[in-house]
Amino acid sequence: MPVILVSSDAQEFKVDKEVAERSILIKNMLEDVGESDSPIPLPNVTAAVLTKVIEYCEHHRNDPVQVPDETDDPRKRSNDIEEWDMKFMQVDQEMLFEIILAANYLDIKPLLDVGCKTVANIIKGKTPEEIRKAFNIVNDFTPEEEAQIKKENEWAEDR
Amino acid sequence: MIAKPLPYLPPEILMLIAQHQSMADMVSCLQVCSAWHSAMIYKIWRQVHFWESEPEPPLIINPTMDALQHHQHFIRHLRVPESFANDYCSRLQPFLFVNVESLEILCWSEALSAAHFTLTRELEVLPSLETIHLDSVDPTVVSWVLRSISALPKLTAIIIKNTVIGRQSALNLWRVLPQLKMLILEEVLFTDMTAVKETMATTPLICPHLRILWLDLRDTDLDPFDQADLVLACPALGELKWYSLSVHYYQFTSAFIRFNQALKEGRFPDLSIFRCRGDCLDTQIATVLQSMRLVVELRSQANDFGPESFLALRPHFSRLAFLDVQNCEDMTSTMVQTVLCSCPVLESLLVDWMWATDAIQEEEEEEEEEEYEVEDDDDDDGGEEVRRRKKKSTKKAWVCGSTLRHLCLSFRFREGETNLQPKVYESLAQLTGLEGFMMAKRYRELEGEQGLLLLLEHGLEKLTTWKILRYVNFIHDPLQVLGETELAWMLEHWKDLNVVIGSTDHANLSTGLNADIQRRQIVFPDASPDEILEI
Repeated sequence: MPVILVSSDAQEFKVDKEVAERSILIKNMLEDVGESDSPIPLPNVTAAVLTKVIEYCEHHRNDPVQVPDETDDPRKRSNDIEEWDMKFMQVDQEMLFEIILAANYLDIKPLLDVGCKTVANIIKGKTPEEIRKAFNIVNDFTPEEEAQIKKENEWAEDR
Repeated sequence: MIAKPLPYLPPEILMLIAQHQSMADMVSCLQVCSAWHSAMIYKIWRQVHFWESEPEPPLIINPTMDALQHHQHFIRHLRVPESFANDYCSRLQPFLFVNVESLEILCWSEALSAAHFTLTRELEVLPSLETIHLDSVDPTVVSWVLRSISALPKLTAIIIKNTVIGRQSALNLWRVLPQLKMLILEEVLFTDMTAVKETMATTPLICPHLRILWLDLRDTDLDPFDQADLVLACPALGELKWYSLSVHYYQFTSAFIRFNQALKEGRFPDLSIFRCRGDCLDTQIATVLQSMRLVVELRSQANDFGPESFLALRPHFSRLAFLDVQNCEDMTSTMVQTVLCSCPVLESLLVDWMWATDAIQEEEEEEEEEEYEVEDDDDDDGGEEVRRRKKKSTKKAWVCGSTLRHLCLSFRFREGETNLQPKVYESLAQLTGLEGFMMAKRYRELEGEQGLLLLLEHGLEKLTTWKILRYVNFIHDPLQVLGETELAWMLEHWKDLNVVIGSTDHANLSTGLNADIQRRQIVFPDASPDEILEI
């Protein structure tokens, strides 16, 4: 039975239950409410972002449920993004951040992971100034503060 | 035109991003803005591993005193190296480490550094300390550390390796045993246990919380009877590693019988991981295994695991995750096959060898099975029938195909069997979860016989199913020479491969391949299988 999702800008999306349930938030909501035709409002997600999120969930509808990875394994850091996911994440940075926020709100762990990995890959090897430029972040440090942070944490770079 | 500011990423998401970053990238992120700084700073300072000072120019630097003081409340783990520039560590003050939960002191030389003194003399000012790890440190450091451990209320784990523990230190250690959850003693020598024994005579030892106990001692004043006393004082044991020295043969045997008796009486209901080496007999291990409710890990590395133990282990197959019976000559090829076919959650299997014919599943056999089944219907159960059905059951597929992560094994071919090579590769290809493959040591008497060779012409290319393989090791197999084409194939198909152990002629590799090796940061260390497991 399809589920109706309503974006913050009042657009309705009809999706398969199995697809919607990739979101743990929606899954729990449906379990609480039981069988019901009433649309589910998602006030934190715009139609543009929801379209992307649904595209992701459609593609991954048959994935096995992810086992929580407790080990903070450095070998699994970054890079290992599936090809389809990599292409899916080729969006402008505003959309990238919006997808991450939506994945966090809707509780879609694999999408959140892919989003965070993508951001980590963009940051890789960049100077602080390049990172600010890449993400359009305002520097609120004085030059002295910035120099001090650099000096105090320099030791960690080779660890 | 000023670009539109991006949506604000909350701290919990910045922390998730940091999980996928190198330390160097994280340090860059700290400087981006104050929000990023406060979300990521804790991760930089969580573990501080000091390094010995490098000669000019310093390649690796240690944090400045100001920085340490500034961030002291973030520090949870501290690692102190062998030697330290004296001027640096003499300025280290213990008050800098109030929140430290684990302290690791590593020292391969006999030289004592000022850092060890500064940090250990006043251990009581590390009130949050939970774990102490001393490796190869001077006995003086051991005594400094153990002198103040009773003042550490949160201390639950002590790991001591490669050193000597004297009379007073032993007593200090025994006093905190009742509060510990983990005690690991590896290659440790106790010089004088008289003080401990005197105290124990009046107050018997009870360690109600101890779950992990490793006793791997050098020739020592803590003889096997004392060791048994310690083991028997730990009713909550979940993991026991008990290695014996051959000089203690008779004592160990009777100490082991005491342990066995207690186990039979049900005094260790939680024991599930058991490792032994030395003077245990096959029947003794069998008794241990019969008495344990659950066995998830068994290591027995010195010629003692045999038919009796194997039978006793069988009821535990459904939960067995780790089996290491290298150097046990009574371990037969059929037993290896049975393990592979009957342990559905097996993660590591370290054994010596297996006949190729046992390793492969032949289609002809399956047809024959059907015939047997027909016979089954017609005949009554005769002795012959039972024997045949047994044969049938050993020809099953490997059930641990997706769970097995580490395999150490050599395949042997009887004369005229070398055409079975491709079929052995087919069997190996079932192991889709394999992370490490080691060629086991081959016995001297096997020389002249054929073993499995990692060659493309023999069927190596069937192993494309090993998608997450990280290391291969064939250092123990003198017949194994890794050719350039084979190495190139491995690099192409095993994307995660970064450790290759075995003789490879680097100088003669083509430049393209060498570049690939450098890019992938592939190392060719000389190491034992045990060390590789830790990589």
